[in-house]
Amino acid sequence: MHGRLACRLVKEITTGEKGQLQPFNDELLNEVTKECSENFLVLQSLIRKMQDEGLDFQTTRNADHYGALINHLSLIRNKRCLMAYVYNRAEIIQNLVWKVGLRLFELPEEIQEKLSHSEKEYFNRHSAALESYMSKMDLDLNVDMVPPKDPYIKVRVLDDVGEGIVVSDKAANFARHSMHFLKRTDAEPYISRGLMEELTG
Amino acid sequence: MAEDLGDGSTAEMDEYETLMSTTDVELLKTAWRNEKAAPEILQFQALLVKRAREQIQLVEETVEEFEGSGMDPLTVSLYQMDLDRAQFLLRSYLRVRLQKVTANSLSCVLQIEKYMFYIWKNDNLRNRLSEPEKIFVKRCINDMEKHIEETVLSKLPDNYQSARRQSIISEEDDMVPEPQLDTFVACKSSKNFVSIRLVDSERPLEMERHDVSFVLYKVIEDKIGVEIDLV
Amino acid sequence: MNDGASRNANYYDLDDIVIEEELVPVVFHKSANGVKVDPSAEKDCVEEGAKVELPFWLARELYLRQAVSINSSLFQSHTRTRREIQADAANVDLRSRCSYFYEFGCKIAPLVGDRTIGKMLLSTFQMRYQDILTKAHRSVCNGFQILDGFNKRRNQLV
Repeated sequence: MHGRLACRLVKEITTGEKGQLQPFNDELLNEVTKECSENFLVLQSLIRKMQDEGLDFQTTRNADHYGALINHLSLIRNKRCLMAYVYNRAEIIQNLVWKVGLRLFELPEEIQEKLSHSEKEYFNRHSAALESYMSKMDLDLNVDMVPPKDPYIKVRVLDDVGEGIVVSDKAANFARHSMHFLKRTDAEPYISRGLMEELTG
Repeated sequence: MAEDLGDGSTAEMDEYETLMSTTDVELLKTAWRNEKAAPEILQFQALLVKRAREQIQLVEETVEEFEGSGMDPLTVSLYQMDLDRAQFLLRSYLRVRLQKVTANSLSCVLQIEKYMFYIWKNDNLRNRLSEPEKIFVKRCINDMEKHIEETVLSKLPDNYQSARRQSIISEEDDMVPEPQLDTFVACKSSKNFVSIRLVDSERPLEMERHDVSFVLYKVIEDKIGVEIDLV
Repeated sequence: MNDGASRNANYYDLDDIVIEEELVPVVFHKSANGVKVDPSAEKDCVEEGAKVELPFWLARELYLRQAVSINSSLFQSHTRTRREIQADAANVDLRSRCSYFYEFGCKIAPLVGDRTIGKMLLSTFQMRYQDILTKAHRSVCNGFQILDGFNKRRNQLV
């Protein structure tokens, strides 16, 4: 059936997890472009046959006409699938530029391996375009993606932190279970070490 | 809520509301929200962005000065907090124009990036972009076309190699993705009284300040940022 | 309903592409040479009167040019689905029947000239929507995701 391989190519994107890349399927893509060339060859030979028989292709509605029509429709369907495959992958790549990094080497190796040569170049050109926009605006846009939090947080001490600790030039008694109002940046190291917990709400 | 108060208080409340909603930070927040909720690109708020940048710079200088002069750390951190918020808002506004995150997917649907072909061939939309945005879009289009040309189009038969037309017999550009404008948006009136002409009803929809409605985008398109804000 | 005009706006839409791969039973009114659409044919061609299943993207174009008619009597499974839906729309597993039930319904309805399809889609949607709303109240988190998908579909139906 015409166009079956092309749809399989498209399904490689829809069946995967959203926003995740599968390895670029060169082989299947080439098979589809081969089918396009076959469509075109048949299309041309049918038109030539009609011309040889002295028939007007615009008005004649015979089996050759419908054959040519179906091959033309199959070709533009195949083209649509090919375009959508490449275009939607390019959108995922645009997203990588925003979320992961502006340099190809910043991408994890397993992602780099999934890109075709042309896609790698596209990644580089797209991040260059974004960088140039940011430098014109004199503002980095790929940082500060989440709203800033309150600089002060309430914490509870979970373990004996030890006395004599000085936080932001203030000494306090950080006894176990005591609660304090601290600068987020001061408290975060203790929270990540499991010595304090943030109290919310 | 305002109805419970006397007439005098209502006027006072309105004045207060108007004042509050016209600070640049609030305006930027509104512009960002509108941009985020609209299905198409809106006019770039050039003056607002310019003012916001000037203010951010001013506060930055003030914070540095305070830190140098040994000012009370709590006061400094309050200024810093304000600064962080303003900066985040400005970045978000510029970012959301380039990149629009849809609520239903983990991946981004990129506004300018996604509809670049559509925006570019439409004068009205193109003029909504700032100069740097225009340059960005132009580059995006070239990059995408080069990539698609290399990967697909050059491998297709003659007559089928266009990136805009499916084949040589197409009479118009029939491959250009367009945003879905025929969609519903939630909106809020920012004026005391706003009347909206609906598509399917003789009677207009009347909204008072802060009323929220769910309407077709195209019926309020012209009023966004003037009488109506998106939520 | 979504047809013609907005088709090209969705040119790169993956879901739209997959929906249009759904098979439709047709009867050929013309023959065609140089095509591989009829698995029972010996040569690369299709004869007038041949009953074949074509993907929607091809069936629609040929239908619009009066080269095929859509054989709605062959929608056996759909008739069965219809009866089940009438009985209890909320509890039919639509995904297993056709993963794009509404979208495909919207596309096929104008072609088969069966006005009841549109009505059935809408009433199915309404019944299931109510059901989902109730469920969404119980688990807000998943609800939003489902609703979003539903809203998209609702737009296509009305």
